[in-house]
Amino acid sequence: MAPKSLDAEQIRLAFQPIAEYMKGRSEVLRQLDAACGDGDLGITVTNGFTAIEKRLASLQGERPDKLLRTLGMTFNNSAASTFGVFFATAFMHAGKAIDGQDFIGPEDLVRMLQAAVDGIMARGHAKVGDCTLLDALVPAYEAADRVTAKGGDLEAILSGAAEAARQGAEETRNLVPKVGRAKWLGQQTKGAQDPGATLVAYFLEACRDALGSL
Amino acid sequence: MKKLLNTPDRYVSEMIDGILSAFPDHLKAAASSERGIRGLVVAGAPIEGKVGIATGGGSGHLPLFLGYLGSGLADGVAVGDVFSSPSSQEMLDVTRAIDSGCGVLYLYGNYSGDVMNFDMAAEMAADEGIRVATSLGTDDVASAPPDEHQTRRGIAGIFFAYKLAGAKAAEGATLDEVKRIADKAGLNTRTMGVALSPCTIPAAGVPTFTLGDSEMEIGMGIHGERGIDRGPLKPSDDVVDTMVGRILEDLPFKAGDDVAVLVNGLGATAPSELYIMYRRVAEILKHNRIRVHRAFVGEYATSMEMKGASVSLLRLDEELRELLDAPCKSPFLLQQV
Repeated sequence: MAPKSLDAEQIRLAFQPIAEYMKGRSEVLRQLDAACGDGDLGITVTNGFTAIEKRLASLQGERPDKLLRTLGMTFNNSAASTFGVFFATAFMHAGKAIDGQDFIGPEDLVRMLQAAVDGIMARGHAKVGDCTLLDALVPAYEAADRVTAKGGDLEAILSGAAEAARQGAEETRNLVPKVGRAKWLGQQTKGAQDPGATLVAYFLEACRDALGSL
Repeated sequence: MKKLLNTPDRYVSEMIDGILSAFPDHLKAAASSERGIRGLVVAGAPIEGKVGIATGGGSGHLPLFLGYLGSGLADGVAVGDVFSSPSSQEMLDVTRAIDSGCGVLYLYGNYSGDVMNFDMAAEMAADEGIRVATSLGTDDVASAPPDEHQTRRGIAGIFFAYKLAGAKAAEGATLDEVKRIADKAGLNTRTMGVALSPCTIPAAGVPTFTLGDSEMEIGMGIHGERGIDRGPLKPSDDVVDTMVGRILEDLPFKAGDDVAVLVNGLGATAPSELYIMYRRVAEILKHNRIRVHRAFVGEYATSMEMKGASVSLLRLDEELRELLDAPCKSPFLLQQV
C-alpha cells in the first residue's frame, strides 16, 4: 500500500522511476512541440531528467525542501529552455512551501501544487485558457484540493491530480495559444494538444505510479 | 556548413577558453558546469563600492556580450549555447562573483528565455540577500509597433546602455541610479537591421533561414526572426533611407537633437560597406538638422556569419552625453578621454 506521508528518502527514491517514465515520453513530446513550437521539448526532457537521475545519488540525507530545490536547479542547468525554467520555478516554489519540514502529507502536497502554480504564473505571465502547461497544472491543483478536503490520502490526491491534468491537456486541442512561440501560429494550432500541458499530465502520472511502487 | 571549428558541441566552450587565454589579466571564470565555463567576470570582481552590472544571453553575437566586460562597462556575463539562454544557476554564479554589497543590475536583451532565467536568478539572489534590478534592451524598431515598444527585441543598441550604465556605475552611483540610466538609454535608443544572408548554428548544420542571392530583408532579427519587408537587394543609400526613416519617425528624433550613431556589421559585412552606409546616415541626419555627437562604426553585435548591418541612434541630453564620453576599457573597446 502506498505510504500516508513521504520522507526525504522516499521522495528521492521516487524520482528514479519518475525520470525513467519521463524519458520514455520524450519522443512524443518532441513531436507535439515540433508541430507548434521549436521542437526542443524532447531534448529538454531527456537532458533534464538524465541530469536528475545522475544527481539523485548525491542527495541522500537532504531534507525534502532542499531536495526539491536542488532537483529543480539541476533540471534547469542541463536544459535552460523555457520549460527548464518553469520546471525549476515549480520545484523551487514547491520546496519553499515545505521549508524545514521532514515529511510531506496530503495538505503539504496541495500547498506545493499551489506554490508551483503561483510561481509559474508569475514567471510566465500566462493564465488558464492561454493554451499552456497551466491548463493541465491548475485543474490538477484544484482536483488535489478537492480530494484533500474530503480527507483523501496521497495516493487519492495524485490519482485525482493526474486524471484532471490528462483531461486538461486533452482540452488544449480546443484552445488558441495566447503566449509563447505557438502564439505566432494562432488558429493554425487548433486540434493540436499543447506539449507543455501534456508534459505536466505525464509528470503527475509518473508521480502517481512512483508513489504506488514505494 | 563551412566553419573553422572542431566539433559543434565544443563550439562555445572552446570559444570561451580562447577568450580567457587571450585576456588572462582582464577576465576570469565565474561559473562552470559539465558544459564547461559559462560565466566570465572582470578580473578585479567584485569591485568594492561599485554596483555590479551583469549581462548574458546566447552565444554567437561577439563582441556581445563578452567584449563589454571592463572598466566603465559591465562586470560579468553568463554565456549560453549558440542563440539559447544560459541557465539561471550560471547567472546566479556570475551575480555572486560581481556583487560587492552594492547590488547588481541585470542588463540584457529582451528574449523570453533570457528573461525567465534572469528573473529566476534574481529571485534566488534575493534569497541570498543580493539586491538585483533589471533593465532590458528593447531597441529593435521592426519587432513591434511604437505603442508596444517595451515588448520589442533587444539588438545592437544595447551597446549604448552598457556604455552609459557602466559609466554611471563607475562613478559609484547607487543601484537605483544605475538602473535609471540603463532605462533612460533604452528609452532613447532605436535600431533597425537588414539581413542579406543567413547564419548557421553549428549544432544544426543548416542555415536558420534562406534568402535568395539577390534578396534582402529589412528588419530581420539577429536570430532570423521575421522582419518587415523582404524584397530585391537595393543600393545601399535606398536601404539606409528606409532604415533611418523608420528610426527617426519612431522615437521621434527631431531637428536640434543631439545623437550618437552606431552602424553595426552582423558578422560577414565588409567594414567598407559599413562606412558607405554611415556616409548616408550622416547625410540624412544633417538634412534633418540632427547633430552627431559621436559615431561608432564596426562590429558591435554580430550574428555569427550573417551578412547585413544595423543602424542605431541614441538621443543624448547633457547627462547621457557626459556618460557616453567617459573613458572605458575592455578587450574589445577602448575609449580614452
